[in-house]
Amino acid sequence: MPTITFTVDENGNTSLELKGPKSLHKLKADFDKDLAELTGDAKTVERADLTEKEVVKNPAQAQAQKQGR
Amino acid sequence: MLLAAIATLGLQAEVFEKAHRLSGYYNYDNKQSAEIVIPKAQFGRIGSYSYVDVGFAKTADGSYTMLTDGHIPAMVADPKNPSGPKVKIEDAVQSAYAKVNGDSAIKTVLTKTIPRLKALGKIPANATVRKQTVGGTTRVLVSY
Repeated sequence: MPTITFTVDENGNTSLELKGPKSLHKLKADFDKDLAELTGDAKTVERADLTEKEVVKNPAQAQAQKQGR
Repeated sequence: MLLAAIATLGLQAEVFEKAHRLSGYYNYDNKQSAEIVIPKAQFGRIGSYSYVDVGFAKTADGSYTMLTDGHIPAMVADPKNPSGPKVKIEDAVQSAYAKVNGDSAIKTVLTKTIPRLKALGKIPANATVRKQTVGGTTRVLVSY
């Protein structure tokens, strides 16, 4: 049974997990597109396996890390 | 989204087209300027205190750098644990921003991405969509 799991943790990090047929990973582009419009900071990581997971770091956290906090 | 995050803390920020000089306690505090400013008087509204205005200066890449008092930081309620110990304003803004950002992402997926995938036939129209929140983590589960 194909499943799509979109997760947002308490730090604002998002992840997308796709389980099922290989064709399912094409859906990632749809999520990326909408989230990029939202945050302007979506990054993609392509993986060949059937299950893929990516993490888009919250821009505020990335900025804080850049400042050494 | 930054303004919305600040608002969730009970503070009202002012937005300036050109960087506005921040008011501080010492003379050297007054040399900083920022496009988004939380006036120090605002902190009294939430039962806190700040010696200086808290600013957010726009950087070349469009992100904002927070400018605040490094000596005696304003302490405010923690958005992750409002009844717990107070936290530094910079940490509270970061948590509030993460929450606003996360809530927007969930809303976008539920109201835009999944309905479009269904309309385009990329996933079945009868696919089950569930939303789960455990602790601070929210999941949208789609299965078919």
